[in-house]
Amino acid sequence: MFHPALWKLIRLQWRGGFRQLGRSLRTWRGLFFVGFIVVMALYGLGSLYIASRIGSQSPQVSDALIKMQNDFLPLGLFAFTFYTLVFSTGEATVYFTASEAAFLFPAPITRKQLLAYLLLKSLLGIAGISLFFGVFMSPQFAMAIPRWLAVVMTLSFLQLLTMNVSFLRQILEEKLSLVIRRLLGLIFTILVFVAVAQTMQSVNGNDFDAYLKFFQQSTAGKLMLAPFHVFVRALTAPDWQTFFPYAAILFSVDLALLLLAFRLDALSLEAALAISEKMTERLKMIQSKGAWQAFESKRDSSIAQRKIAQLPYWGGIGPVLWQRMTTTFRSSTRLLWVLVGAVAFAAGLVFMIARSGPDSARTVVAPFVGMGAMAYMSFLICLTLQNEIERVGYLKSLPIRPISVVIGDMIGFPILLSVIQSLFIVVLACCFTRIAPWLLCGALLTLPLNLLLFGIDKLVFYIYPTRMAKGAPGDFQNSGKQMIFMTLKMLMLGAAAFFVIMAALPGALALQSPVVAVACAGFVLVIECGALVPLLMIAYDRFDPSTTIVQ
Amino acid sequence: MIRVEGYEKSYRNTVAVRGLTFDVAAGSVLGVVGPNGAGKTTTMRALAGIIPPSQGRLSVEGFDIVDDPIAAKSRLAFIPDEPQLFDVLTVWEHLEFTASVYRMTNFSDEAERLLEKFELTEKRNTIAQELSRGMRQKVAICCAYLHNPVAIIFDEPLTGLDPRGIRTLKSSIRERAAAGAAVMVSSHLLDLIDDLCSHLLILHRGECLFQGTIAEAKSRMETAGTDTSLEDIFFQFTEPGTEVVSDATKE
Repeated sequence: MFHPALWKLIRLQWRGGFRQLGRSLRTWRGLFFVGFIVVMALYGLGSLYIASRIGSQSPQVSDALIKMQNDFLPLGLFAFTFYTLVFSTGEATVYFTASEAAFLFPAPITRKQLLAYLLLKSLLGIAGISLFFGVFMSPQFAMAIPRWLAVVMTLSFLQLLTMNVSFLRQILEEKLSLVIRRLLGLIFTILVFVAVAQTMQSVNGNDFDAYLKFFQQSTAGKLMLAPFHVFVRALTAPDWQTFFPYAAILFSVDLALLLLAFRLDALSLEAALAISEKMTERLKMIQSKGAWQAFESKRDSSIAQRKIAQLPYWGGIGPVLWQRMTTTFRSSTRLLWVLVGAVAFAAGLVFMIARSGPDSARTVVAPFVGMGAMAYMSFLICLTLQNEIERVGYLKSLPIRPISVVIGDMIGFPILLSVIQSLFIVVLACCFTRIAPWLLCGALLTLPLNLLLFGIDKLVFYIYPTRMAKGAPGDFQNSGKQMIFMTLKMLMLGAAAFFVIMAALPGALALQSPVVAVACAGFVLVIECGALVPLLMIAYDRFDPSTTIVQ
Repeated sequence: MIRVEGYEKSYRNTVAVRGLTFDVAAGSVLGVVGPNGAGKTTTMRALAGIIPPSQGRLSVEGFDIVDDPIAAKSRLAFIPDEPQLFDVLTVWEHLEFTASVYRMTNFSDEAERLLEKFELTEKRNTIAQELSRGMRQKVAICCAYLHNPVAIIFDEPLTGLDPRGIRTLKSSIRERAAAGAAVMVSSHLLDLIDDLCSHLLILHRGECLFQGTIAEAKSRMETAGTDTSLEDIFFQFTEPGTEVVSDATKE
């Protein structure tokens, strides 16, 4: 059933991974990078474990955790099943790497053997990921193994369900598949609608828990969620006796789905090759141009309609800035949606805090929490933007002075981000008039803050030009490097923020004047951004695209 | 050895390849040329059993690639244009794995010989991630040759190879053909086709414009002369308005 070459491949890849790790550890530099990531991982997992252990000592925390799982897990699983059955193509579940496709597809290996290989690899991955949820997040150490098994079976269910849906879509006529999916979508939608209607009719007030409870206990809710309660029972079983019957059901469901996948025997090499090529292309794109451009859905000439007027020359800044802004505008629709999502998230946070009580402190805290959330989202977005090594090579070939290139390249995205953030803050100021002057003054700081954030990111990149690693097995060295650069950026940002806060404090606390506080903070920010420019210029001048750190 | 009869591949409303029929006999080298999107790679992938035909039969040494894929694939080697190796495996491990795929028990001597021929002996313990594009291509070729296939399909084989690598590959293709293998080579490098191939297949928009020996192609040119190049032939055939002269239309 399982081709011996496929065992060999798995074994060789594991061996290669360990060999890679061993090679990393042979140099002091490699040892440092690997050591750093191990320490960070131990710190992260250790704190999770300790937090769950401490939590389990308190019956209240433990009960709250179980209640949360009971409340949300069935809903989450239902949402996933709904999405999979109605919308998903299941592409990700039949993913072969480019090298697997090149070696295995033209080889004398049957489709079922390839499917078995795919499933085995996936199971090994799931078993590893499940350790995280099963062991480190387990409230009871004694129940870590059954919890781990339950997580493995739950994730396997999701994987197998998606794979079978993908196979069925290939087997069925396109029209029939569409009719079935629409029918299922209609049934699910009616069930959700009925459950929501029943809940809204029966529950009054603002208690979210009451709404949730009634939704789950309504007839339609029970019908939708009942199959998924089995997963929760297995995951939260307090002892082995309780675990066994639910685990047996889960195992049977997974086994049935597994047999169905083999029975359908619909692994199409053509479709798998197309998926593999698409993913490989996407990975290359992520490496060279970043995740946002890689996940851009629209790649035809229609994006040329999104135009930005040509800017004046401005000593060379204009063309560089125009090119950067046009590229962002045309190839980062999803990024713009994420920004809109960030605004919605921050607004939701503000709304929830402001609504949770009449306390006037909340009306002060709420808008600042919203601003903080926006700033944090900007930070996360900044980290996901890939600096393009090839683009710097191109910019260096232009007859434009380094200072103009550095400024033009740095200010494009921060301007866009600052406009969105400022609009959000202005809306907040309209809603929270009591602290409107503070908020409006704060809006003035968005541009220098974003410039500082992106400037630091660019500076670290020019000094240590890194490219996102391909993520070969056992290659912890690259992850360690990325993590160290991230820490470096955060330290630099922290130091810069410290001086800004120190400058703003006297105005804010002693004089209670937003204008003075913002003026002082703004002054320090402008000095910091100004100081960054010559540093960026020197780093850009010395930048050598041929010596990228991560290949 | 390689036989394609009435092969057709269509995707929804698009016909990628239409009614293609040709043979590659043992010992001959067929050059497949055509502009981008002509259907060369689609045809080669179909022969390698990766994409199913919409119509027609494709077989290797009499074994149908759809009905008996294992038997057909056991006799075939397909070298794609982009050498995709396993990053963390060494050169030798690639050969070891390939031997296991084709259930070869004694592969070491042949593997050593191939490594020497393609100047990879020193790199046998180097992982693929550290190889240059050309070396990766050579490893892919060694893996393809290891099980002594009777049918070999190359898709743009020279990309990334240095002059010595090109010479080695060309001589190896001639050797394989002389030993009785049927070889198909797709390339945009018309000089390579002229130099290496005994037969020619010109595809354009999924249709066969010409098939036959290179000498026949040259003689069919209106302004045929002894020094007619394959480039002239190619442009003559692929110019708009050229009549399709595949076997199907001849019938």
